[in-house]
Amino acid sequence: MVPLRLGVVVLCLVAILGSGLLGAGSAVASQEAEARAFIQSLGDDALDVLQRDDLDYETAVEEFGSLFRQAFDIPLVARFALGRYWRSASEEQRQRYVDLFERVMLRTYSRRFDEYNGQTFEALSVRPEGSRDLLVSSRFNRMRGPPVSVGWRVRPQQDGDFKVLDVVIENVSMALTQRNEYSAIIQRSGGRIDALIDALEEQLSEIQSG
Amino acid sequence: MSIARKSCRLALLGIAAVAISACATAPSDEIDVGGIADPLEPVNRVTFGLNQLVDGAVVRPAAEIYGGVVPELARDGVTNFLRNLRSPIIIANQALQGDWQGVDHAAARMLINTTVGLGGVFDLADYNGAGIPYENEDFGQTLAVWGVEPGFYVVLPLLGPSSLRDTGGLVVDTLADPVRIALHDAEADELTVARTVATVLDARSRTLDATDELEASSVDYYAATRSLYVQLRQAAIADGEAATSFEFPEMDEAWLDDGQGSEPASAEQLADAPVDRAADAAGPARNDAPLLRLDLPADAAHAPSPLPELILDLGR
Repeated sequence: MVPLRLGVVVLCLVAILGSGLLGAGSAVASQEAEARAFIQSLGDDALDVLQRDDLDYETAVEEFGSLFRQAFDIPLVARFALGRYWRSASEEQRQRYVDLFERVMLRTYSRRFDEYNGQTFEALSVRPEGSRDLLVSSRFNRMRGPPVSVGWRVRPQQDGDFKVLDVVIENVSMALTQRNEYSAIIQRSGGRIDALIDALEEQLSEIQSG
Repeated sequence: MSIARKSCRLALLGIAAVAISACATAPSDEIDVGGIADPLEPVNRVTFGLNQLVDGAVVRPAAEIYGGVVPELARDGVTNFLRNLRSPIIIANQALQGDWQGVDHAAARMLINTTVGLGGVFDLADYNGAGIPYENEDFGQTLAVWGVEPGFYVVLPLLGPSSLRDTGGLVVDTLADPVRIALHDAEADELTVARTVATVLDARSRTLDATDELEASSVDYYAATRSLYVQLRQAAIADGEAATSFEFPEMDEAWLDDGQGSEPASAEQLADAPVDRAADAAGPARNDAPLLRLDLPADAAHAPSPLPELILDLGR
């Protein structure tokens, strides 16, 4: 009966090892699934607000804004966009900048609400990005024209939730583009951070009046 | 002169372009993350402004009329036809990049669309987006796959954003194009002119919304366009794979790697931003790693992507 007993031992070993391996694998897989679900519900909620007819524009922006503030790590995104100039900015400049950044982002995203009519949103695959983030690929299906591919860089938070750090539209990173833009403005003004703050203020008033 | 002999002459030109681009390595401290050296920025900004004037006065109104008058179905036909004309150039560049699957796909597309697709008017090879998608290639991308650096950023008159490398690539592609050479030999250069006009109208009419959006949401349109150009080119070179990968540190970490990473951190900077160096040494070397890493796997999976076309649309 030795072979049989050996067989049982092997089977047990396989079962133990197997469950361990599967456990490790499924921890990663479940985090990826959660990230995907997070983005799917964020996209659905956003489209929901954007497509509601009963809200006037300002209320819609407000609703959209609370979604946006909840889902994005705005101070961190703002800090990334300021690049190396963050360090030389005073505390007061930082506060003004982050506040302006948030309002500009919100207005930019909600500028053309009617564009979103009839769109559907699909979160697709997830892959690791950088040393601690996940990139969730997604697709906006439009009524006309080809679908738009959008990647969401999300960072797992301590409480098990996620925060969005970057939106990558057709392979163009918003955070990187803003960072390049902002550093160009500051460089052209001879390193003055206030030049950027002024430019953002001007942009905000343009968007709001337009 | 035969097409073969002309192509030989062009190969020499190509080598010259490589040599020029290779020499033109910019000082590294001018390169920002996701950016490109732009030593000619003052000149480029002037050219950019002039291009915008020409666009506003001529190209844009023409594209709006074209988009308004010609029905969508016919415009799609024009897009397909123009893309099909690029097939020889695309196949040659896929081959030069050693991308045999790409050669296969481009050749199959040309064969199917030229015959059943009635000279390329119908994209039956990718019917309903379910077949072989169009993938643009150019000699600038080929040079990049060969390891040639972009050199620095240039804004070409009328043609728009480019780099030293990609300008060389554009010249080679244009001169080596068998369609252009054949038309020239047939003394039908006016057809090449017509093709160029159609290409501009087609590209501009499809990018009106995108450029409006970018202009409205940017604080510095020139810098935004430059950043976009670099990012889209990187993606095109990697055949649609997102090519840029960068770290996104936490708020309270020392961001020694941000911006122009060559700056050594001062003792003061290190002091005011506590960093667990030991933890960093154990984990991935975040603060020592370059913020931006360019991965250009030669055999990257060939994801379908509209990017190369977007690039074309942006500038050319």
